[in-house]
Amino acid sequence: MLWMKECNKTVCSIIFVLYAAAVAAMYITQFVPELKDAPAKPYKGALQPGEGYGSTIKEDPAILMPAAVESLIREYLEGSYRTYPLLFYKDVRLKEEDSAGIAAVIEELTGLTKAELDRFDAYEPERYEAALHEDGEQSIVYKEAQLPAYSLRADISYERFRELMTIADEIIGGASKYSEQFLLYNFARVSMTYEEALAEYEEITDEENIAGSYSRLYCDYMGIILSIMPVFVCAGLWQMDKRSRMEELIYSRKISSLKLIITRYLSMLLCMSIPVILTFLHAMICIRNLYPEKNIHFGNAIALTMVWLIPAIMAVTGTGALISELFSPLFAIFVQGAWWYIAVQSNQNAGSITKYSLIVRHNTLGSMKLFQIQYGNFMQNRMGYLILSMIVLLCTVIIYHWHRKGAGHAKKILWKNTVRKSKA
Amino acid sequence: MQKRSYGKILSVNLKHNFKMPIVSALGVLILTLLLFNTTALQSKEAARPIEFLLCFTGVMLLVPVFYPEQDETIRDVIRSKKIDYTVVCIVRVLYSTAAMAALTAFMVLIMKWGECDVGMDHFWSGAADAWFLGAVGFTAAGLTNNITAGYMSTVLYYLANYGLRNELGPFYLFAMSYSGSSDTAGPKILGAVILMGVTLTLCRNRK
Repeated sequence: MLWMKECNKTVCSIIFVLYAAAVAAMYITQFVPELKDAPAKPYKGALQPGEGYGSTIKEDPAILMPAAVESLIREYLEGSYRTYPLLFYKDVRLKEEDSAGIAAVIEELTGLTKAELDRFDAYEPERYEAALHEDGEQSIVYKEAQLPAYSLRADISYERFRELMTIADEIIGGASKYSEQFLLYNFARVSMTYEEALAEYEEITDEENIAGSYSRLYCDYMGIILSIMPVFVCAGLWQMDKRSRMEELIYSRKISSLKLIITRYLSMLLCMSIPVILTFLHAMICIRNLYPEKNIHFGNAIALTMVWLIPAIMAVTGTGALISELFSPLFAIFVQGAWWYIAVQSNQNAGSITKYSLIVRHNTLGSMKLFQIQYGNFMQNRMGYLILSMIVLLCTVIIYHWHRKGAGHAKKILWKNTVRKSKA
Repeated sequence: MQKRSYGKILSVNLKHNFKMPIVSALGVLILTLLLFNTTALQSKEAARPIEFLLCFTGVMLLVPVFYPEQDETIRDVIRSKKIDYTVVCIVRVLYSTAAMAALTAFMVLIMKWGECDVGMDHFWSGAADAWFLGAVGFTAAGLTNNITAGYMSTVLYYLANYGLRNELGPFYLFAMSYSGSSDTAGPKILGAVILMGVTLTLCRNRK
């Protein structure tokens, strides 16, 4: 009965209507256009200048290590390191002791000492220059960067190389090209051959993979909106109790705090899942219609979508409930807004899945290998948020019970900054 | 007599209803300074921190204009007063707008000290963005009589700016980062005034 009442309260609120409209708008404007056409099969033939089959990420130490080391030496000589704390460029200049740390990393990788690096004064960055030919014609010529002679030490293992890159990233201050998040994206990108492009196309359109490919793209878009919108629904419902002055009345009821909060939480989860389930069903029907000749396997897609999106909704709702109960619903919106903003800005479209980011992105139908490389991070991330949501839910129950008993009222008055009586 | 009443409304509201919004807006300013590079930026790059995050100061300051009356007993008290409720809202909007402009100006000055290529264009563009985004939330909060809906609508509008640049026309929030010009500041300010005017009129008629 209470369950139905809570569901009814959620669904009938204006905030839930806005939430459902937001989910639908995201789906219609971002994902539905992807369903209009099936991906085109790569065309085999002579490529025109500027044409290609796209690029892919290969975690091949033979490609990754030399490229990253060259970049590190170049940035050391320039004295400036590019970082992208929120995907916006930030130039970092290091202090002497930090520069020595980077030099130590370079020395371990190449044998070049700090003295040798500092002595090298012939450095020139890579550039394009106008060149005059003997026949009087001008053309633009690419000039490679002038770097000291070095070679990558043969006894450096790939694992040690990754550790050194992490050390370099920490010295620079994070979000550099050498961070776990950006390393592959920056230095392991290679052009695809026709065969590779064809293989990727066949992988995407394979009966077993096709629904999974589309569900990754679906989750990418929906994950953005589902990492913020649930907090409004939660805050709106918490605020509703206060506005209608029902808090004290509910406190006096027989029902246990555990049952009340869990029922409220689960009813919110269920209601907020309805628009997601409906849009997902629509997406799967469209995929079915797009490939009528294929016997598409939907099982993996459903599992992936649940693992991807449910922890996000649970974590955002749980955190919203905890902060609403502890401080105020508006403060919950503010905190969640800041968390969401940082998460949304610190992710690349694909290839930047970390263990901690609230938002997981993979904004492409292809790049399955890239997703598979980061699958460990993905699972740890989602399981982490699932556990976090359960912990915050438990904390919410304890704090609610604490408030209900009256013991926490003094703190509540101090922190909650509830609606004050204005003399205006 | 009338002037004294307005003064009283102003002082009482500043004392009781302004702390939370201004602290939140300062939070946005601090967050912007922490998250974005604010030194040695070219004109278009310098518009990014102002347009991408600082515009939320408008949300923090303008959406809570209706916050005190979310408590129905306070709403009844306010409605029973001789001074029109709309006047109280206008006073709140005016001091919130002044605070928002001051915060934008402060940010532009900080960037100027950080040797960024910023000027009055950045101020107008930033202030117009903040005001328009705040007005969107103000309208949603006023029309639905629900402050959470106000905050929610601003996030939705902000998100829409990532994919609907052409569709939003002069109301595109990141116009200066994109084009380097502050031409859309005028339409945004006009749009904000219209939105707020319509909202206040409808709220007044609703009583």
